[in-house]
Amino acid sequence: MIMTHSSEEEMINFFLFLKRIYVVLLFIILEAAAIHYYANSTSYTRAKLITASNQVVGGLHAGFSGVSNYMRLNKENRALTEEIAKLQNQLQSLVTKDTTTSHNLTPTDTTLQKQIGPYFYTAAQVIRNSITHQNNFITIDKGFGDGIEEGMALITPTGMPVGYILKCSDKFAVGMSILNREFRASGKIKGSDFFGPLFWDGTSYEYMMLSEIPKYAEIAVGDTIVTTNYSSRFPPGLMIGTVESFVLQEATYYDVRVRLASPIGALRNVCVVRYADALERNTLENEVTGEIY
Amino acid sequence: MQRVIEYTLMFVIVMAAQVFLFDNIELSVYITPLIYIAFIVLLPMELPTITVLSLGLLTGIIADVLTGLPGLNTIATLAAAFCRRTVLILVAGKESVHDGGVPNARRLGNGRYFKYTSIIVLLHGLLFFSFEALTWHYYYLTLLRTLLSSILTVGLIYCCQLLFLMKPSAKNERI
Repeated sequence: MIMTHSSEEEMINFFLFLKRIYVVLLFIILEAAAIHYYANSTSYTRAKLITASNQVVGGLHAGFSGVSNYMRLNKENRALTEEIAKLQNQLQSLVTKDTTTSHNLTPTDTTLQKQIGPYFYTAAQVIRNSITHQNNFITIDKGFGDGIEEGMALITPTGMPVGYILKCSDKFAVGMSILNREFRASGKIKGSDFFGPLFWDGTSYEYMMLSEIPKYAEIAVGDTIVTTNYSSRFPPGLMIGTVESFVLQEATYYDVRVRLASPIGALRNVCVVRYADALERNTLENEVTGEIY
Repeated sequence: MQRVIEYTLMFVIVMAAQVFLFDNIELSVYITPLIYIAFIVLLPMELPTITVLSLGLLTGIIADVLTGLPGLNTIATLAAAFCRRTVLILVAGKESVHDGGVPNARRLGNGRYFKYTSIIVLLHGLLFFSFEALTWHYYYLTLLRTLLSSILTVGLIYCCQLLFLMKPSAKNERI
């Protein structure tokens, strides 16, 4: 009898204790869930989340960017016109050089889709672009419906790589910015064959890092850094920026600080680049890697 | 009821300011104001922790979806919401918290108001930027980002409480 009584009391005490600490428990559970979700998120999850929120606020973002676009129209127009002229010239020289590929060119096409070599270019507008976080993303106003696919490269109209597409919805696409700590590409010193991994160290939106340049490479401040042809995303030879400074690491290689050719923050118009041979190339490369390992 | 409408309005405005303005302007990598925390900071003092925690969860999730940072805002906002009452009691005293009302500069006094806001904002920022960086390699960068961003956020929250909460609080004092 006494036993039952005390165990009842224990139960009541236990519930009183629970009542006292349930807020703390709830906090711990919620916080753990949030941390778990964050720890298991990848750039892909983040892109998915932005794609989802674009369904709701994409139109608003487009509206806001429209206002700021209006302010910059003059400068943008000039840059675009110059770029179109340059592209037209390149196109002309290609047409005259190789008439067998001329069936790919559709002069009546007004959607600004052009092909140069194995690369297709589509013009798009940036409607959302973060630069102040450690993992930044770019949202553009074209998606599946406009022929945009995951893995395509994003470059400025003047030809600087700015990222690549991670996820598309019907009308929008979200890309990883080069200002993302998970972004990887390779870069080389123009005019030489010394190359290394190109990444962002998260310290400034004006600079990127080019690492593992051998110490016997001839390098000078002001040298141009371009993309390599090791990428199945970016066309080779695109200017990334210029050498700002370089430091010899472990007496074996240089870490090069690269000043970006144009500011990512002022990005309004981009070209989406489709590499027509990407699938064939990736399949072949994966097959070989699969056989060896 | 009027208060619920006011807070809903403030929530919408600070969240919109965060997503459309502060996430888009190019201040610096070092300065990312997290203005939406104003909603948690300025909730009435008498609210029990469980309510603040629930509102913190809601704020965090909405901020996560809108800014595309899965879980990051929730981690920071939950902690800020959880610690809010304790910080308020430590800074303003049990009586003030019990009396309730909006924790604005007029009610708490400038000194105590800034002390309270700074602690919450710094805690929120430190968690946000540490979890965002997820590395000790750039700890000085993380600390600098936390400090500079928090200073701006505290300033912005001060403007917020002037804009939204001075009038109703003045009315409350007269009653």
